[in-house]
Amino acid sequence: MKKNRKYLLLIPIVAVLSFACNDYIQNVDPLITQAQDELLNNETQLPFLMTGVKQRFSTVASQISCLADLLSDQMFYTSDNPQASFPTFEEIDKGQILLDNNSNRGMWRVLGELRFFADDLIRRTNSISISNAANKNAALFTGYFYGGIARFYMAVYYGLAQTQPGGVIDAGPFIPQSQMLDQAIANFKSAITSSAKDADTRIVNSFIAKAYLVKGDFANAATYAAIGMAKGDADFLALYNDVSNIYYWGFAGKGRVQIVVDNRMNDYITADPKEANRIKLSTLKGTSGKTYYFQTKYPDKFSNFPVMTWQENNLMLAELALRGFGSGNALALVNEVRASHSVGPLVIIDLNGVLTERDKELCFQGDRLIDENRTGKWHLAAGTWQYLPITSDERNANPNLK
Amino acid sequence: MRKNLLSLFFLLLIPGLLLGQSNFKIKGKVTDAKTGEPLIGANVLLKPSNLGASTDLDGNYSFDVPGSLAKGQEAELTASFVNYRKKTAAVVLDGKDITRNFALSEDIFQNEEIVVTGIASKTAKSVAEVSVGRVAASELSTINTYGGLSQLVSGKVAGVQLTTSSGNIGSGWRFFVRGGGGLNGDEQPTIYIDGTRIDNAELNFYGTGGQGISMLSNLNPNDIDKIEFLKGPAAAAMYGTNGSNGVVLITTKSGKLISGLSQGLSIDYKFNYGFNQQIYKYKTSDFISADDANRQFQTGPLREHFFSATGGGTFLKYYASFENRNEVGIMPSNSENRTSLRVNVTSVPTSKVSIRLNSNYVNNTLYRPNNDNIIFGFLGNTILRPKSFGWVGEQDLRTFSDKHQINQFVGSANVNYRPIENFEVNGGIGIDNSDYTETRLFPFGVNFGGLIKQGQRAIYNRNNRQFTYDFNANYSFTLFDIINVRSTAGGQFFNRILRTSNVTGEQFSSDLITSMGAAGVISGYGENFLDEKQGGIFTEHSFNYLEQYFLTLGIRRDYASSIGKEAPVITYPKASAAVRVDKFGILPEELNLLKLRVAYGESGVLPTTTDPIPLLWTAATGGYGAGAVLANIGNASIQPESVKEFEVGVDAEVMHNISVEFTYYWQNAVNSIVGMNLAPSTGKTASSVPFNIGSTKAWGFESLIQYSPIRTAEYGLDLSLVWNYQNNQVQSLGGAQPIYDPFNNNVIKEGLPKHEFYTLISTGPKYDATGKYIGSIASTDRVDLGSPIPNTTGSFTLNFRFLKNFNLYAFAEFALSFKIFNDTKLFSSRFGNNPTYNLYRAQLGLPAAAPDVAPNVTPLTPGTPEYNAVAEKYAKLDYVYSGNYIEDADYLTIREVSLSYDFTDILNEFELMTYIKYFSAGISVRNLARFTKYSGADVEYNSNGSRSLSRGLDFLTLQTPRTVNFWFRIGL
Repeated sequence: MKKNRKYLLLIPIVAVLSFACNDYIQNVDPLITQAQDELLNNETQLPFLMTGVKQRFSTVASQISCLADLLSDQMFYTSDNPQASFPTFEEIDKGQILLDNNSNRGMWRVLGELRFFADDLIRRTNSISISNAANKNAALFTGYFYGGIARFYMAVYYGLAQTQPGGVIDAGPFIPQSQMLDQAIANFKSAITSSAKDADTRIVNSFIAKAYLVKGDFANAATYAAIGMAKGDADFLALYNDVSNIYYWGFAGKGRVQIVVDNRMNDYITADPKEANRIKLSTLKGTSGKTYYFQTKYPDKFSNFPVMTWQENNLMLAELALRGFGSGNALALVNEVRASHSVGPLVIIDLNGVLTERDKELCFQGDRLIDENRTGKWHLAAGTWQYLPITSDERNANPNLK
Repeated sequence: MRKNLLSLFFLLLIPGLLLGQSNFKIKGKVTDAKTGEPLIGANVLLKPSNLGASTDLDGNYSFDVPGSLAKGQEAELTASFVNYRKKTAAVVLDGKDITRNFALSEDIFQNEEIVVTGIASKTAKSVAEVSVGRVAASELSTINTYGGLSQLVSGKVAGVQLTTSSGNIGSGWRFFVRGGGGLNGDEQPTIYIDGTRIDNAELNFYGTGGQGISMLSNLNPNDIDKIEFLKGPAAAAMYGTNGSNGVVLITTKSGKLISGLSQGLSIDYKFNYGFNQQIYKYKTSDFISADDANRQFQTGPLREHFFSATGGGTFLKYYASFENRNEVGIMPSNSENRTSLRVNVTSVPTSKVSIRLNSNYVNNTLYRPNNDNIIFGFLGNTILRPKSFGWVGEQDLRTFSDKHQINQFVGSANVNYRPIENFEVNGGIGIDNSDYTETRLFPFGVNFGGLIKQGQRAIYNRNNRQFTYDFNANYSFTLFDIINVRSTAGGQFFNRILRTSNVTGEQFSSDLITSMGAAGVISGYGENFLDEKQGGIFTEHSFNYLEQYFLTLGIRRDYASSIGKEAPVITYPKASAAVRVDKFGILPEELNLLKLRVAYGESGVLPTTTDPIPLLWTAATGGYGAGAVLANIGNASIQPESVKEFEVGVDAEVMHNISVEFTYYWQNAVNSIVGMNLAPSTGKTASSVPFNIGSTKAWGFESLIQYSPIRTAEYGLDLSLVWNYQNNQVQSLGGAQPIYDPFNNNVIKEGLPKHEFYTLISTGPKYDATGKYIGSIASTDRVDLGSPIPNTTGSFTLNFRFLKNFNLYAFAEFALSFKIFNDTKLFSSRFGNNPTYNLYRAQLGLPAAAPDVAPNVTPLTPGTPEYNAVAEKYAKLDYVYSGNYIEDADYLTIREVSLSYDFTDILNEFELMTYIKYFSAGISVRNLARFTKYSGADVEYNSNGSRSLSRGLDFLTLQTPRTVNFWFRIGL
């Protein structure tokens, strides 16, 4: 056994390696593309966080509007279109939407992110020390305003069942449309308290009016529309560029046409060629030789997307006036909108006329589905989805929905 | 660094210095014990030194031994030769010349061959305690030709499945080892070349529909001497974390010891000419547009030149090679041009030290075609719709290019040092450094739908550096004078540094300038960086009692930078034992080897680098600039998955010409990392959240039967059968929802095997009140539709040598209980390109699925039995439910057939052997024929490539080609 003492040589080797391991393993360079959450708890990071909220808003805005248009009677899907290949779009068009529809699953996920990013910005802003009040107000405005928009989208575009609109927040219970709209309105009102610009305040007021309009609270809608966007105000836009593209361009536009426009939109132009100033269409041939129309309102991948305009506010005022709320002159308000596109004036207007004007003026902005639902003019058979379904991902992972 | 290089230089000079001392000679002859024929190239080694030589053309060997080693002590002289049992003779080193002759007996099944059984252990296969898979690469390369590592390994190792994803040249491929290990990671084994852990990535940054490029396609298979496979934790535990899916050890060729430095050179040249061709022709009975699809295929030529120089003397041996392989695929825009240069040098500067240096440089250029899930693909434009080229014109398709340029250096230095008797130290450093550039080009002026008209160019750069550091020390001693003990301790460290960057430019103003500077718009850009480290220390102790009982115990402690801030320690134990029953003297003589073995080991799979970080944000750019968006949701307490494996086996050899290996294994993974998908309404969906909540089990057996009924000077016949069975089951996901692949068909679900097809099917037709078909009835829930991974696999091999110099080699693979999702057929039905589908629609009075495709048939009357019978069949083709298109895909493929002739005897007659040592030529065919139940073009499919969650997905994927090779080899 004496010669086996050489065995002891192994002991210092093991010991040295053991101590070396920890030091060696932990000495790695940090990531450069990602930052840990706690590092963002700093006033200097607020602009970065605010931009993130807006960035996610732009991801959501044109996508959810395009899917809503597809579900409405403004756009449709046909396999005769040689560029079309997504079965998920066909399901949405027909209102026969499986809960795991992939296009919708992706949409619901980014909408959830928008809500979370906005709410998290408010939480973070209120939990850190901020020396500059303007910075704090800007962050709170961004959080409340875009958090309000996220809730509004859930209220008007999503549903638990075919005719049961509403949404979910933070894996909580289903929130019916009316209550979700109340939350949106509360957010918008909080945003106004942090608003630094009158123009921003008017935009927010228009959103509040729109939320009340969907709720059927016409009195409050009229109140806020009256102090909403006015002629000459710049559109409130979702911004895109060459890297982050508007959804319509790649799926229902010049980039690739999977979703085409209902022929009745072209009928407006046939009836009055000036309507082409605001209903912008182009054509493509189906494999059968049939002609289809697609939108060119957003001709480029970087085209910006109007989310709220003074024209929409005018049309809300006109509708509310015809419903007996507010003091606006409905015909003048509508004609002011038409004139902004060099379309000739109407001589008479009624509620249906305002809805038609909305169909044309707000085409390809996601408003047609809202109007169909709030006015009871659903175009598909009973039993079809009138809202995008809250997805299987949510239902499976949210104990409050089981 | 410079100082180190100088030291190394002088170390290599030491042999020359030693030669100046007073030497003595060891010499002799090595012959076949049965025939007395000399054995050419047999190795004779003097132990415990590293000195030795190889035999020459007459079987003679001779080498010098420094006089300083002669102290009158006893030493061992061992003679070994491939397929022969080694012999050892005792010699006394007293400074006088020694002559020893050896007569070696055949070892048909290589039971005496040394195999690796662990990170620092190797032993003869006849006493190995674990199952070790082997591919005798250098032998196979003499009778066949292989384009890459995947072709060399496929079907050759019991318990190892290897599946390519498509017929693209350079395409990725995936191992499935035994039952697939645990739930985590990519299920891929860790691969080492000469001790260097190499990059096994599939690169697929810019999508061309699904397929990626395998970094393993850079390896020249002609350089490989052997491949050894440790198939699971029972054998690979000492490799630590990430050994759970096994470890592949590739050894490249080394120089051969030939007596005398001046004679020590052998030059080998191999030329290979061949072509790839389409196997499966699309039929108009399946696709209206079949002819358009078939027209896209081409016969792709291939040419390969391979030179190698091997040689050396007592103190220095070397192997150097050069390869250029130029291969064109069966689809336009798909080719490979690989140039490889390798130099391996082994030096024995003193009797106590040996050094091996390996270096390999590869320049590889690949072009990858569009296919799979993309509207710019050849197949997407031809077999989806009855009218082809709806998205992109036929000629325009061919203007696209996706070029991959790779420069890779893989090198290693290993030192063996024996400072005192029975004690040795090994150290090694390995480097794998690769620069990769992908350049994707949509040319200016070509219409790729509306998306790209004014051209688009995208560049992705990737630099990957991997460093492997190994160190171990072994000490051998005798315990109680009857138990031989070998104790080992060591460490192993790994560091990977990855940098990537990418940029995309569009809207070029001219087709003359395509540099990024001429782009009107930069539409995409990014950068990434990763630094990760792993390390472990281990100790292992082997006990050998009377060469009958063998026992090994080991333990490894692992660390990794991806396991939280404090790098907690993970411990992996192993234990294995074997008994040579044939040495008890109680068995019949015919049973010349019977070994029972049992082994247990643990390993694991690391979390990803970001898994332990609770919340990570990144920057997303857009119309507002760059803003913070969520990137990852982690779990600070995450630990590696733990995989335990138990195996028991028997190895037997009967009458020296039948060999049987059988292994049963059982794997259990616990603490599997399961990504819990939070409800999207939480907003935390950038990733799933990892938790150690899963568990799986896997079991199966693997067997290898070899039979050599004929072995004469004129004829030889070797037959072998590999038969494997595997099964696995996800036992728990800890309450998490099932995990589906992006196509929503493959699932990770409790109670089912991993990756099982689990989706909806049609159960029958639905009628209105008049009896008219109005749709199909869906199953009320998802249905288990089988596995994309076969339960049973295997292969047959025949190697027949006849008329002395002819050799016929055939190799076939089969798989049973195997399913593929035929998404190609689903979409062609949906778009009206499936004649059967169209016929049913017409018979049911339904509108045509596409213009001008309705056959001229009279609709049947609703409510009649004929109508209902068609409705039943049509419902089963409802494309809404993907389960309707999941098909049986069992197959038998005649994988390799070759016929070669060795002209050496003829050359001898003409006395050309003065100039030429050997000359052989042959023809070989890969994928000669396939027999399968599957209705699609191929079964070796996965549209999403080799690293995706999707498995067994056929969606416009390119079939694997038939490859015909004509080759000759000449030795100088």
